[in-house]
Amino acid sequence: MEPVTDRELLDRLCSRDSRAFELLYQRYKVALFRFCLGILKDQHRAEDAVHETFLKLFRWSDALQDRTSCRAWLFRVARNECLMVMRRERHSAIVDGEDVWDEDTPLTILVGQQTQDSISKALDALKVEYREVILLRESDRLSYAEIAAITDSSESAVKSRLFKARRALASALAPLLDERTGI
Amino acid sequence: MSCAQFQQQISTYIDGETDDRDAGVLFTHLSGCDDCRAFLRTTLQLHQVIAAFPTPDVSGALDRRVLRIPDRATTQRPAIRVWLEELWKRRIAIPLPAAVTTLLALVLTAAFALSLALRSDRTSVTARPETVYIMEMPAVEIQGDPARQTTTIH
Repeated sequence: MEPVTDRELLDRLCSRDSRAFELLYQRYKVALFRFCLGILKDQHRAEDAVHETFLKLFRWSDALQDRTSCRAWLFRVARNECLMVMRRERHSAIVDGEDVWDEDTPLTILVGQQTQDSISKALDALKVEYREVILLRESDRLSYAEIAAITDSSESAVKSRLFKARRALASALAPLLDERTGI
Repeated sequence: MSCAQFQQQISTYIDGETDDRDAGVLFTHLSGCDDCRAFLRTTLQLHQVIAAFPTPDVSGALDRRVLRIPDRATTQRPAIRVWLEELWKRRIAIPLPAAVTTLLALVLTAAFALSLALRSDRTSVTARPETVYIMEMPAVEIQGDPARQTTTIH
């Protein structure tokens, strides 16, 4: 019978058990890939970030102190990889001021497109620090505490960023969503 | 509280991080505020649509790249390091008399080396400079000339 918890898998990984490594990869590959894709908006770069994340997991599994938070650790490493790629490519990863959008306001994007595509594009247009909290919360159901640990910020900052991102998305997408539900 | 503050509470409520007391106050406000109800409706719709996003396909190429990591990490170790690690872990079987003889030889060699070291320590002590006492004084003849008030020593 395969071990269930991440902790057990990490213990086995410390003794270089490649099966444990494979199980951890299968467990988190989709969530990490979705997150990296959401941040980087490019399949190849997202794949590179996921690869680097698991390379670090294999190399540093011995040094992973708190083995109960493997998921948060993986997301944190993946996020750092994404930010490094963005920095390397001279993308702005830091937000100054209250502006939430990184690209044009998505109202122009919405016309004539499907709801999911439009929301996806609206998400892509958010600045990275707002996009990452929405992705971690909405797609992966991570708690405020986990998101705070991953993004190296406080829970109140996470709460505030989630609200601002939702408010921006709601005001931009309300016409489309109202039309969709016939309200 | 302003609508902006209630809308922040709506965001927290959707995430299930609002306590019952705050939720009660929020719903009282929602019953009389169209703007906040509209925000709640839109945010819930967003929540549902994002949750229903299709799961992205992880390519077989990424699977292969990642799952090769343990093999590559093993093969990339320097050959000498691998050899030393294997040597350290290697088990060897020798007869008991041979093991006892080897151990005894090691103890005797160590004792011999220790005694040699002690002996060389003893011979290498540097002698202190000795003090030489002259027991006999040389004969001295003193001649005096009272008239001239002079003294001559021979």
